[in-house]
Amino acid sequence: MNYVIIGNSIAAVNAVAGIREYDREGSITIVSAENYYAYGRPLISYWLEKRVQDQDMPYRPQEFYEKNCVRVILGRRAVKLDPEACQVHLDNGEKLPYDRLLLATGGRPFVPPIDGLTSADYFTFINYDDVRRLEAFAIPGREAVILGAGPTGLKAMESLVQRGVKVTLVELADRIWAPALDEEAASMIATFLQDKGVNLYLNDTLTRVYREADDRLHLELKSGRELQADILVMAIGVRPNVELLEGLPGVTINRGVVVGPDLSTGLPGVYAAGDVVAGSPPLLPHAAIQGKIAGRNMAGAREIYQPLPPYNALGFLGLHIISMGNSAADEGYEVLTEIDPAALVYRKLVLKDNRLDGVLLINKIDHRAGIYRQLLEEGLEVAPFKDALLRPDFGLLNLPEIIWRQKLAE
Amino acid sequence: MKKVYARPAYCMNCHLCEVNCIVAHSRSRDLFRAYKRENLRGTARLIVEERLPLSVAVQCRHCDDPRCVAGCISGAMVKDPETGIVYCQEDKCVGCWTCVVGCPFGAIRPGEKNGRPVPLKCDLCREAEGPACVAGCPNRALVFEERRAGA
Repeated sequence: MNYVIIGNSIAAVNAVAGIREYDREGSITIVSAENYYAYGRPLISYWLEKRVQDQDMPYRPQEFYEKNCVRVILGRRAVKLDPEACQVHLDNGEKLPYDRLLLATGGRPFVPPIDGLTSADYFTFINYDDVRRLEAFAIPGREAVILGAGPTGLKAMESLVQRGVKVTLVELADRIWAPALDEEAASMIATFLQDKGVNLYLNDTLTRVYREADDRLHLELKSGRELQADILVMAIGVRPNVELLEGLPGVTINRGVVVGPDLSTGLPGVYAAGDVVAGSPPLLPHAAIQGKIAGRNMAGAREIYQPLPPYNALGFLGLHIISMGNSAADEGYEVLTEIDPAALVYRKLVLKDNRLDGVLLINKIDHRAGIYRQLLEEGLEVAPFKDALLRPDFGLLNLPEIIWRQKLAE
Repeated sequence: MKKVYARPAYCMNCHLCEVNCIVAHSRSRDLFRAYKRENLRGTARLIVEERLPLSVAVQCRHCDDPRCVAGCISGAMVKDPETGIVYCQEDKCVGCWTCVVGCPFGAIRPGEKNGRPVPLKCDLCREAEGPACVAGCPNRALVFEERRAGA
């Protein structure tokens, strides 16, 4: 069996592991447009802060590829998929035949049309190369504007602040990281950021950009504000890289590629995993699990991917946030909270029909986070132990005995 | 693979498993030094849950498809393909705590060692003879054994 994997990040590496569980012999080729072996994309902000060095970037050691007999083609882009001939065309004219193909092409930053904006005016914050380019500009005393106060914008903010750059976050929504944080949590974190010297402009966006005579950027905002900046970072979201599949018969694209429960795309032998998949939260654990399952299925397994609710752990400037599921919800839900604004602690459980539907934990994070996530994913009824959920001694032993006994026996 | 299994009926809530875990993961391997010099109190890699009179030590189940490994952003958390042991390469960890959210058993806690973040989780004492929690349990409330064929 001849496997080709387009993309070389978390989904791809996990697909290799999945394939090798079932097929020790088949040939595996990975094609990556980037010049690096797989690295965890979230590490780029740690790299920019110098908390992670170049040698710590690889997600798996070099031997991973050797041990698993993987041919890796770096710095080459797949430009065409020919499902009739079962071939992928690369940008150097090479054609790679496949029996099974995995599209793990991820996404790319979305950059909205802004009057005057050229590609030389901004940075994106997704790839290793993005931060390597940004490093030379991120000098103490300089000023940066980051468009987007979601996870990407917040991590970019953290690394720039740590490098001594003065940061302004501009966010179109009425609060930071709106899909995960409710108003109260977001406002608590906004105060925290302002105390750290970060400017935050909500309900606002960029309308016009131009270079001034001194080469600084002049930014005009919807609100009428005008800002000067040395660095502009675009962090308002990603778009799945679906180009290879566009217009091919049997494929449905709805932003990302629509996949079946086995992660197949509708083209014979062609699977997809990670951020390129429609409706999947663009989150690393989800990409890893999809990659593993797609790999197994490519090698003959028949495993179903059960769509998982989003969950995310995000830390910046010493503050830690864990969100899962419907964590921003308020109205129409039962909400249990423990709030201590002085300690920046906010713990919130969102219940729907006596089942966990969302969890938000800020600055008081312990092992119970994992139990909450499992309860949320399993949809277990929590009514019998609802009062205990936020207690400091809540744990497995609060669950029905049949469940904790079974868990301990795993 | 051999795993640590808890037998709650035999647990008397003495917390010696925690003490032995801490010592086994100390530099000195000495109880006094681990607590008083290395300042490791509270860093056990297992969690004794109490709903008295019931108590039980919960530790990593070394899952077949570990969520902590799937979620790790740096590649620090791995499952050793030979031994099946799930462990963290602590010098690679950046302390994002996605592993903590991932663990369905609540067996991983955020921790710190030498000023660096480390997830506190059982590694089956992989660099020693066998799990110290089991060796030191006075009532055999923890056993280290193979229960599932091929697992």
